[in-house]
Amino acid sequence: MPEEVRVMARLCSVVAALLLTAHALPAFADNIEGADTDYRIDNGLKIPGTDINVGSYGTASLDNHPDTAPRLAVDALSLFVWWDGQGRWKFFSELEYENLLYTEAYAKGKNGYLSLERLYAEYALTDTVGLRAGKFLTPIGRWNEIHATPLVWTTSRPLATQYLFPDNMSGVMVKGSLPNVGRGIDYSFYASDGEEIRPNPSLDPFREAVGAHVVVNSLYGAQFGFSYVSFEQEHSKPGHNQLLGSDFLWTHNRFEVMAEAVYRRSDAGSRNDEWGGYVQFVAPLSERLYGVARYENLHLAQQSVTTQVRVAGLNYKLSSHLILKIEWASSRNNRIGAPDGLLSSVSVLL
Amino acid sequence: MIAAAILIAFVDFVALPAERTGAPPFAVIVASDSDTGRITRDDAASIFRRKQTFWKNGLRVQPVNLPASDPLRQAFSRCVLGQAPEALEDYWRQMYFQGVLPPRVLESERAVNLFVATTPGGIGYVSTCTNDPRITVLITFGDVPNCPKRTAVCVPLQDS
Repeated sequence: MPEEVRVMARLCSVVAALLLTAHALPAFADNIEGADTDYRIDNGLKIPGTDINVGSYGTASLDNHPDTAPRLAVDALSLFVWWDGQGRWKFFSELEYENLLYTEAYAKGKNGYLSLERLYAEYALTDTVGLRAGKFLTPIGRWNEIHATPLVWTTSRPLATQYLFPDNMSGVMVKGSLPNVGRGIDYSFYASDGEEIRPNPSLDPFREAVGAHVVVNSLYGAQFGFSYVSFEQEHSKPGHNQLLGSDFLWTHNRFEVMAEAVYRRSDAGSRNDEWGGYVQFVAPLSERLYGVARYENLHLAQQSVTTQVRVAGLNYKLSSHLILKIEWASSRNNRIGAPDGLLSSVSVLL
Repeated sequence: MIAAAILIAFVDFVALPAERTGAPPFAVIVASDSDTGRITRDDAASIFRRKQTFWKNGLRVQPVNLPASDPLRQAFSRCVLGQAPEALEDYWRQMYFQGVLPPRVLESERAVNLFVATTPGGIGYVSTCTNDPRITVLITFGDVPNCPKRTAVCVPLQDS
């Protein structure tokens, strides 16, 4: 049997298993204490007799780029495990198997890799002040901290959230919520000395970083976020950098507007400055179907042009844990291999 | 983004909090020996969004909900959280990704009364107060039968 056919068969079986599992889950969706299972939708699996919870998500995607053959892949399978003993301590970890299965040469060179996304301990001094130490998602903007595919509206990820800062970092963080200040403020201050825990070889981690992210809640569900980080990276980009960012989220009656803007200033000269951002609109088309439109741009160091991407798509929430997406991405000045063409995916949150 | 900020700030300035009407009245209850102190509607919202997880005395807060389809849960969610339970689905999926679970769900008000009376740090809501001395009413929304009045007003609804 040819290799392509074998891989395709394995992919189809994995996708079918994910769909069947997700389809069977509503039987347990009552979410009521006393049910004869410890699994609850969106609550993960609570290990009986312990304070350990296990959750996971997975994504299978089908892309049809104009210049390459169609690609069917299981992009990621993620497992997160946490312990919450109902006291002040909490431990959290997330492992992700990247590039699990794929069909086509497009993904060659992207070998499967078991990535440690998060591994940290938290101690809540109070509700307003908590301490975190370990490896965590970099708190810049909004997308990066909720980047799990079942939680975002599109298959593709905005370029500005991929290219301008590392996804995760190892260090310490002071974080908390101030619910009685105005309409509520969430904050995090963090620092890293660059000792990355299990660094992902495909990413360029922080060599050092000190930063903050503050989110201010306003009326009608609007949230304004501000990010600042002073940092250096290990490999690809020279010099010391200062990053300023802002983010915005507004939801109302299932409509949503989300935006982020990031400017990264390098002390290695203005030609090394980088910036980017996006604005995304979501509108309900029916009870479960949503329309999504996004415009984004990205300007990288040493480049004379700014990459622009327009995305238009549909997001169908078959249930709260099974999401189908299809979108068309169109790019200009695309020298960085930004997603282009038809992209679709099925995401499962378990 | 700046235009959006100005628009929201303007709306924020001119908007007046409005008490919701037509929803069934309910009371927020805790165990009498919990030593939780008084709370406001906004405190209750923080508790049921799992933003506030400790009482002032350091005890862990143990909130319980009724099922999402229960009319009282609908009323509580809209009045205190400003959103229907269904509109909070995305919020809870994001919190789940951070390892934060929504309040436990109990199937009846009787179960809520029992849980609150016997669980340190427990907090729930009911449509009728009992004479159980183990339970204290913190806030009421509307005229709740058999309850002392500790009336608060609903938050403006964000999502219908």
